[in-house]
Amino acid sequence: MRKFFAFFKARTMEFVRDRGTLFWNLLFPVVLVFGFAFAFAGDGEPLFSVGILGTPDEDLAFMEIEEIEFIEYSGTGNESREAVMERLRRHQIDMLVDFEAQEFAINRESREGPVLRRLFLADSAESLAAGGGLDAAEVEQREPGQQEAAQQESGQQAPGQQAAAGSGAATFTEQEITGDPIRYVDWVVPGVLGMNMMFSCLFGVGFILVRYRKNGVLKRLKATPASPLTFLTAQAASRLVIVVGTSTFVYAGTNAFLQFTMLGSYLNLLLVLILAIACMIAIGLVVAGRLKS
Amino acid sequence: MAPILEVRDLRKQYKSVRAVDGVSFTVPEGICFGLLGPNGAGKTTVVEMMEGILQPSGGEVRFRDRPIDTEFKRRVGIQFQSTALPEYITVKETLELFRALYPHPRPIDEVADICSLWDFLDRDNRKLSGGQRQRLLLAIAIIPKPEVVFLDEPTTGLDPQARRNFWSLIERIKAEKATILLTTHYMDEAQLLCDQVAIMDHGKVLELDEPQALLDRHFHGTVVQIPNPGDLSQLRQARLPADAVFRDGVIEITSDRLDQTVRELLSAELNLDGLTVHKPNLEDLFIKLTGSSLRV
Ligand SMILES: Nc1ncnc2c1ncn2[C@@H]1O[C@H](COP(=O)(O)OP(=O)(O)O)[C@@H](O)[C@H]1O
Ligand SMILES: [Mg+2]
Repeated sequence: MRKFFAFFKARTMEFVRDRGTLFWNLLFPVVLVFGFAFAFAGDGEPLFSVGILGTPDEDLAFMEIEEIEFIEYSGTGNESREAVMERLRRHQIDMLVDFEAQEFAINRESREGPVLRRLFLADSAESLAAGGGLDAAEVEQREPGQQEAAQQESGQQAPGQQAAAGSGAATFTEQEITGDPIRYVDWVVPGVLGMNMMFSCLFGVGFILVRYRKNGVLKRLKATPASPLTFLTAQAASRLVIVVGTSTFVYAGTNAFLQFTMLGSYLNLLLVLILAIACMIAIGLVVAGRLKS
Repeated sequence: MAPILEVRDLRKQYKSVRAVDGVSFTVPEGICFGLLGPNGAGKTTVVEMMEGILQPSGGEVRFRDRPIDTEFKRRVGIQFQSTALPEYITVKETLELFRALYPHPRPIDEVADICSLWDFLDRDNRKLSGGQRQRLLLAIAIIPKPEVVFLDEPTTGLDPQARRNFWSLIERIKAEKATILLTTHYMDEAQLLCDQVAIMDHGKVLELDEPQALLDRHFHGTVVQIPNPGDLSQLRQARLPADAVFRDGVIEITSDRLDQTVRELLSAELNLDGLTVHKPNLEDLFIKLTGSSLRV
């Protein structure tokens, strides 16, 4: 155990004192995250994007609006209704129109939501007028104030019950959901952390071992009573602590400025992180073992 | 006394190279044993097989009449010919690291005293001079209070002053009753430090004995060297003493009776500029045995 800690300490100190590596492990990911955050701050996407489920009604003038990007989903797998609703919740689309269930949904937190509703319902009013169904005035009644009141009572996904029978868009029931947008950086951070972790494990264990073998450090240790297993586990443990430490640092450091959206538990994240690190270290060791020079 | 180390018919074959070709010797406890030979003679290969670092292709190494095992590693200290030290840690931290690997290590103060490390104890390993580095490597070798210390060419590449300092360190370790196994291609070093030497070339031991006994066996008298004997045609006519050898442009005569040899040389009318007379040393013996001067 004494040997283990001696190796552990030496390796960890080597990492902390090696300015170059320290920079790559700590500052570089931070810079990368901020870089992405600013590079993708503004979005050059279409004004609105509307998800479509089921066969669209070609007669709807709403479907002809050029500023809207219509995305048709198959309704199965990761394009199931729930999945698409999740996209709506995360602001990846601004509205969902389900022609099958005769429903449409918007996100309350989205700026685009009310505008789209207005457009959609205006269209429905027209088709109503044409089809001689509901009075347009009735449609007018459905003011946002009412809906919000209804929603606060019944929680997040309160379906608006205001839709009436008839043809066209007026037959659609309205649903509202809430959810903060997931920005581009929110997707980038896990990637950057993961990338950092992979490199750190591969280089910090695999590459270092190859270097130790080349320059004779391994040979020197072979001449001591220390077992190779002690040495290797100490290397791996040192790297594990380093990667968990740097990842936490990078996450906490960037989070302080960017306030990421975090879904899921930190404990699970830590567990997954540790498992992933163990895997990458193992790969590093295999690479080191296979590489002859 | 029973030998502490014994090597029996040791062999090492690298693909086409026979690096060590049947080497046998015994090392009595408490002496300094020297393995001498030019570069490529097979010294490092022999020593590393004795240390248990290299697997021999044939033969065996015995420590206190038993094959070497893990226990052996606790009881010997090793200084390799070339070793990288762990980076980004100081001399003191390096010593602490190695101390943690042995059951009853020496205190840091003690090794720092013996090897004069005090001046650079807090310096990064990478910033040491050649001599300081060798002293640190020696310090690492003696941390386990070893019964045997292996030193593979410890003074190669050091300046004369540093070499002399290093010799005094080795004398100190000798005084502690440790057995030392030293390889070198400096004959003066071997003559000064070693109680017994084995002269190696091409993977074989050519001679093995105490340095003085070897010299007494091979030389009677004094060595006379004439570095600039003049042109060769003249040389052929000259009546040289019978045992003169001509090698690399130098005439070498081993003489029992110096007055007679000098008279013969004078009558041969050679250019005697730069003539030297010295008592034979291991260098002369080596040249005699291998038929060549040291291939350094
Ligand atoms: N790993 C190796 N592979 C092939 N040949 C080697 C290897 N190590 C040493 N040799 C050869 O073995 C011979 C003896 O080398 P070595 O023991 O290092 O000599 P010395 O230490 O006396 O200079 C040399 O000819 C060298 O080229
Ligand atoms: Mg050598």
